[in-house]
Amino acid sequence: MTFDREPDLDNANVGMPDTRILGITKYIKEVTKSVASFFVVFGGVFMVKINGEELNIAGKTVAEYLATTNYDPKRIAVERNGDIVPKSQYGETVLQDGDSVEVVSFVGGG
Amino acid sequence: MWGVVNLIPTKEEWNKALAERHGEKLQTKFSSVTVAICGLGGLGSNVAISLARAGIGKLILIDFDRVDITNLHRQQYKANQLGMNKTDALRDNLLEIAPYVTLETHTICVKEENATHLLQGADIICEAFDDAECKAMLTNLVLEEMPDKYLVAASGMAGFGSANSIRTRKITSKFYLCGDEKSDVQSEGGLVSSRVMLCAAHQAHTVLRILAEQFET
Repeated sequence: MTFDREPDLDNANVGMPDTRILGITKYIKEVTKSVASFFVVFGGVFMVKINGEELNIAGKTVAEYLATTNYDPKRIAVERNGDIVPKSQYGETVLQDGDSVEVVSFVGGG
Repeated sequence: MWGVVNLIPTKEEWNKALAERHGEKLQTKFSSVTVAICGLGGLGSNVAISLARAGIGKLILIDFDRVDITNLHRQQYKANQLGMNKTDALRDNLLEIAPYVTLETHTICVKEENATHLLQGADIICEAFDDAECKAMLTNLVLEEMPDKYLVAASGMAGFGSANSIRTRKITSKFYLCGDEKSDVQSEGGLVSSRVMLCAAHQAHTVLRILAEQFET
């Protein structure tokens, strides 16, 4: 195929936007948004599960979390991802995205 | 004729009868382990009797208290044992029931300072205190400082609530918790023997299941 003159590729779409390309761009943007919101909502990457409840407290220490609750610190044991958190480390243990935590609160009687 | 009353089985007869119930392999395991019971009240005295009957080799019994008239409705002591150390009274009772169990008793209050020493010989530890802070203290201490041992603790068995709400949960690979986790003795107005016995039975059964390598609840 020959041209009388070189095709002006820079201005090829002037006056007639390529709807195909626009459509694909929009589609990619939408998919990206959906994937991101999937992780936020369902992936739990920003959440910490405490006694079965998803809480948005990643980044807080165990001590900071406990201070927002009514737990009596003398009556509890804290398990995180299958291990007990030593009491001396409540102030240093930072809750991470996706952590699973259980606070066991003892009541009297025996 | 009266001689028949005093005739207790020999150790061989005793072990044979248990092996017939539980199987030779499991019974050998039961008889080779040591279980510590911390607190000999409604939970601990019942746990001890279940485990002694099952043929657990050695029990470490720990309590600082004496038998009181307010204990008799739910704890495995007798009217003629009032005022005795619970350790001594339970030892006497256990040896009548299961004469070949090995017992180690400590009439002492378990604290952070002495717990490691008291419990070092135990494979499995039963937390059977009545005070919530003592329960939490022992739980944290065992799981932090004795990571090789199993802990079977109890929380929530006061009152007349349903028997069906007493359950066992596995919290970590070494930590089991029995009870409904809610019924506090302060709010429920006291302990009812049958419900405390249910919780003690959960604890004793969990010990036997761990030994049978049935780790899931």
